Amino acid sequence: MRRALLLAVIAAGCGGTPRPETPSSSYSETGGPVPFDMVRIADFWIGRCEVTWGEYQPFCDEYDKPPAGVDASTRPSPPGHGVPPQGLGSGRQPAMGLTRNAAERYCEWLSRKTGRTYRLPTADEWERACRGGSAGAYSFGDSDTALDAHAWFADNAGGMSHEVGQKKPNALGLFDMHGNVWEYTSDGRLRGGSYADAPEKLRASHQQEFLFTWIERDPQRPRSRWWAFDGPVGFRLARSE
Amino acid sequence: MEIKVGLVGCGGRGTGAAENCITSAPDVKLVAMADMFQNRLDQSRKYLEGLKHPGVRVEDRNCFVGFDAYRKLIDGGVDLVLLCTPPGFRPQHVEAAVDAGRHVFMEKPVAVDPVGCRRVIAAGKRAAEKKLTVVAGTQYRHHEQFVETVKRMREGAIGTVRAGRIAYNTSALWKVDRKPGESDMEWQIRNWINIDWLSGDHIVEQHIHTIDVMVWAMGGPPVRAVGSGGRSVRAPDNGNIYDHFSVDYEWPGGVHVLSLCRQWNNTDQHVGAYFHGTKGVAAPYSGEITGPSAWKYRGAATLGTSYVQEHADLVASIRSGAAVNEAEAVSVSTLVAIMGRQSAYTGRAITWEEISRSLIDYSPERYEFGPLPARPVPIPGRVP
Repeated sequence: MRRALLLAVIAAGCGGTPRPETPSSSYSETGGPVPFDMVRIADFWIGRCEVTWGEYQPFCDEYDKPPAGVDASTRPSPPGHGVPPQGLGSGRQPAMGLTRNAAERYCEWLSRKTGRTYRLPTADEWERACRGGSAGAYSFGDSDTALDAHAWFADNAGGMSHEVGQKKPNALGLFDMHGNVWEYTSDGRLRGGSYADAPEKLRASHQQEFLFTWIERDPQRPRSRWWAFDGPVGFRLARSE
Repeated sequence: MEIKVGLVGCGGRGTGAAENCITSAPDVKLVAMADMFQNRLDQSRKYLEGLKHPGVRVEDRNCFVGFDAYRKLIDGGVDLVLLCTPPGFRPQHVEAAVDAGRHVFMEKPVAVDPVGCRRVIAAGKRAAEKKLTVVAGTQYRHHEQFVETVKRMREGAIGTVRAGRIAYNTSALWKVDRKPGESDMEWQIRNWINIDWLSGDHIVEQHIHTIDVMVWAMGGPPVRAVGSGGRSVRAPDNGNIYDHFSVDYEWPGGVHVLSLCRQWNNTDQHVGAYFHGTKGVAAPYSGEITGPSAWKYRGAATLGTSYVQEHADLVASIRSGAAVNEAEAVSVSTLVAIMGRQSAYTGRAITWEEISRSLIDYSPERYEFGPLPARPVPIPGRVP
């Protein structure tokens, strides 16, 4: 079986059992990050869920309290204009409206905080994680009819992102690989489709370029290096060891 | 006909407005730039020249910095000025531009106090007499989706309007920390968005967009405002403005629109405007009308395109001699925002009549770098 070839080794402590009711990671009461819930696949680890606002916000908050010796360009500047009408979500909803720079700088920040090197998944890693052994269009086969059980997309999302980990996971225990928000890979392309997209954009092999319309509304020049407010675009962490 | 453009205020938005302007139509050329600070002008010029667009042709001798930079630019050979400094400077800039016979694009808001609003309205009237075009950066009025939604609403698609609600609930914007040795005036101007006399507070500086849609959709200003507000999360050392307002705006006949705005990080966000009528609801931000005359905007205009469209309309107006003049409309919306702010600051109901005659004037006594103590954060019940 192809799935077996992926050597889906589930991380100790993660148990391989989907835990949609618990956060994929959390911040301790002292404000320090605790390790993310990562799933090991062959020679890399990948986040069980998309990075949430609860996980991303402490990075933004350092704008007000920059640690000594850290340059201003390494933390997100607050936006120079307003959020989109529907907002960007909060809490357990996935962080979105982000540029690739924002996602990459977050990985660097988290790496400094934890002493482990987090990064964006490569395109190949992302697709292997998404498929979870499936050779079909989706992790669950070829039919769109099962999509509703596995993904937030245009037909069921109501035009907004949803808290991570609510839909069925794939065979590796990964949530929202299809839908909810687009996810950056290290080549700058986006994978997985979003709550705003039709099924074909959610397919495991589908790749998309960053769209100009996601930053068109930014009235400032140069445009923000951090925010792409009109993009349902977030990310998922990866780690090599 | 070539249009020579001068940019006054070279921050992120001014730089954006310049790019929007030169790309909105052929033969529109940016030839002059003015800013308070050399570094801001240099950053902006570098970005714009980096566009390699034929509409950027700025020479050193047409670059000006300091408090009188705007006047030097306006007195030079430009046809159109883009007024994009902090709004506290807008009235004096609009007056100088109109008096020198220049067409005007001015960013929102156009003032921070009632005296400033009246100065802009008066300058707008002089512009009309001179057949000058004045366009404001309340870009939704140039956005097909908003124009079509409001038009249908005004034509009766939702019946009689009974109530409404508007919101600009968003996260905190940027701030600039004070550098050692920096004077009050310099720090305040660099950190302008958080200082009352420069930004007018966030209900005026940011929520003006939604308030403008409200005033436009309701057909005019409210008669009364009752507001609350305060400062829950903004850092104590960051300026003297509030971080949230809620205002009940009232029109004749007991029609109320509830207005919410806040700048709070990591909280629910929402920006929108909804007008509830006897037959349905109009929602300009989603381009939708519900009820028997249900309708949805299906056009291609995005919120992003309206930033260029407002300049295309401006340039077309100059070239055709039609002299579009938005000075009064944007001044009225600015004053409605100020009316809500003053109600929250004082804890009193503020009528349109009162705010229209108000002598509140935030202008500093002197425009020069030096000491300028900030007013304390207003405490309702203690502010007259």
